[in-house]
Amino acid sequence: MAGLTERASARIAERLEPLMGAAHDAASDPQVKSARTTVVVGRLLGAAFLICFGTGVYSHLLQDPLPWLPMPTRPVELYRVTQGLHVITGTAAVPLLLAKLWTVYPRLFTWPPVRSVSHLLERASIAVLVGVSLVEVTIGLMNLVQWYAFPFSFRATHFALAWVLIGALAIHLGVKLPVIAKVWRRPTGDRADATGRFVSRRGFLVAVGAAATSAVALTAGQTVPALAPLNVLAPRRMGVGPQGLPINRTAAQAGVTETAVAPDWVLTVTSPTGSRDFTLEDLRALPQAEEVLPIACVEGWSQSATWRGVRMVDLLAAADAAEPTAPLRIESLQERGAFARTEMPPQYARDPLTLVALELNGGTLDVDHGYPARIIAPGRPGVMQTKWLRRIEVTA
Amino acid sequence: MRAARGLLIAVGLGLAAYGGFLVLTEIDPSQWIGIAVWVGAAILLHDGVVAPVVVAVGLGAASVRGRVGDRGVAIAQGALVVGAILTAITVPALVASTLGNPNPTILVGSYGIALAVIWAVLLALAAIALRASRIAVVRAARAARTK
Repeated sequence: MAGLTERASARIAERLEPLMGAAHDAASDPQVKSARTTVVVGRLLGAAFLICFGTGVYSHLLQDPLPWLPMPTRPVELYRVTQGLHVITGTAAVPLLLAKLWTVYPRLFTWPPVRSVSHLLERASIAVLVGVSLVEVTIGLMNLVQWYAFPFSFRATHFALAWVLIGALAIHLGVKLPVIAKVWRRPTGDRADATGRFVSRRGFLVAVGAAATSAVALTAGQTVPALAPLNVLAPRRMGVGPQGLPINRTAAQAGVTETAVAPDWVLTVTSPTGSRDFTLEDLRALPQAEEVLPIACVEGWSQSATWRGVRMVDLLAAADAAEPTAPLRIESLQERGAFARTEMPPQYARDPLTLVALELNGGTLDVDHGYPARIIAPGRPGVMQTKWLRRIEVTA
Repeated sequence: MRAARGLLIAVGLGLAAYGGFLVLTEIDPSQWIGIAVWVGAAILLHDGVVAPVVVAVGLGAASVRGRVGDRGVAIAQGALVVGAILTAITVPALVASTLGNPNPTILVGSYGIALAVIWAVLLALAAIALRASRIAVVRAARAARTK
């Protein structure tokens, strides 16, 4: 039996070897698909992945704060920048990733496919790195348009695989460090303007650069005002939405079309010392403040807007609540959804810029923007800017 | 070098292990198979479809470089790369537009029209470059003959 398997595998290898050799020769181009080109593109891709990872972890920390790690409330545009960068860099990573894979594709057909245990582990780690990288950018792009065609939850998977990706990347760098160091230390002999079999190296790098630049230029306008006129491919457009502002979730989607406009609506503020109900008239009778703060969505679009309403500190004082030292619990009229109930760390609750907003851009809040009252705080993701407020609880 | 390599690999193993731990603890077991299928399918789709198509295009470009000229072929290839990448990043918007979304502030662009315009511009650019490059090659050949 063992002999049979051995003979069979020998015959398969005999057939496969020339095929793999032919595939390798068809795809290879030692001059342009060189270690140097791979290092040049890989460096950019590595930087892009690190930016995505850092900004992604930051976004998760804002959504699931660690009690011992206070998050900054200034600059007010901080999250707008980090999350905008996350999506812009992730978009630019598509051409960089494909370019990186293009330079190393011939190596897929290495013969023999496995030389040793360490070689097997190296190839396995590369398979993980490649597969996870492709999935991360793909589901990231799909999430931007809310196309959930994958059989797993986006948020948890995108986060968990990001750690796998960065880990596999570090392993890959460790394995390849001698090759990288060699390219960096001395000239490798392959010329910067190598003609190449398929394309010159310069032509290849210019094409990849042009692809990355145009991909960013035609989409980043959903968060960078200067690029807004070029925005033809992004899912969102600045100024498009009720009161000139996009929305993440409509009142109908949240199932609050009736409760949000109910005449008996009140906002309940509770604290260890008591509880008080505020009608919309009560809220309007409190001192009103106006602030310019951005809405910055996890999906990478953002826009600045003028909000008017009651400062959170004034509202809590009117309810006779002490200055919060623990997270506020904030409830929406929305019954379902992960963000129907959120927590606001005390530094945001005490921030004078944090409003319970009643107006947007000079008019009463549209029901899709959270009428009768919503949270708007500096530096927080849009999903935490709870709309259709029902209850605010001061826990300590 | 040895220490740096060891450190990178050790840190990488730790980070990847934490990712694996997150998959095991934060994601429902019923979703694990789906994640594994997507990661595997991504590799197969790239290595088995996308990359071979790109190799075929490269071989085609290599075969006409002599007749058309390096410059024209390089510009045409660049236009193809830019068009393919812009199409790839817009596929989700195209598909999601056909599925519809109850939120009127998402998918507000005309993505099909935008891509059609982008491709028209890129193809025109490629055609001009190829023609100019071919004319230069023919002239150079003629000049070489008459010398």
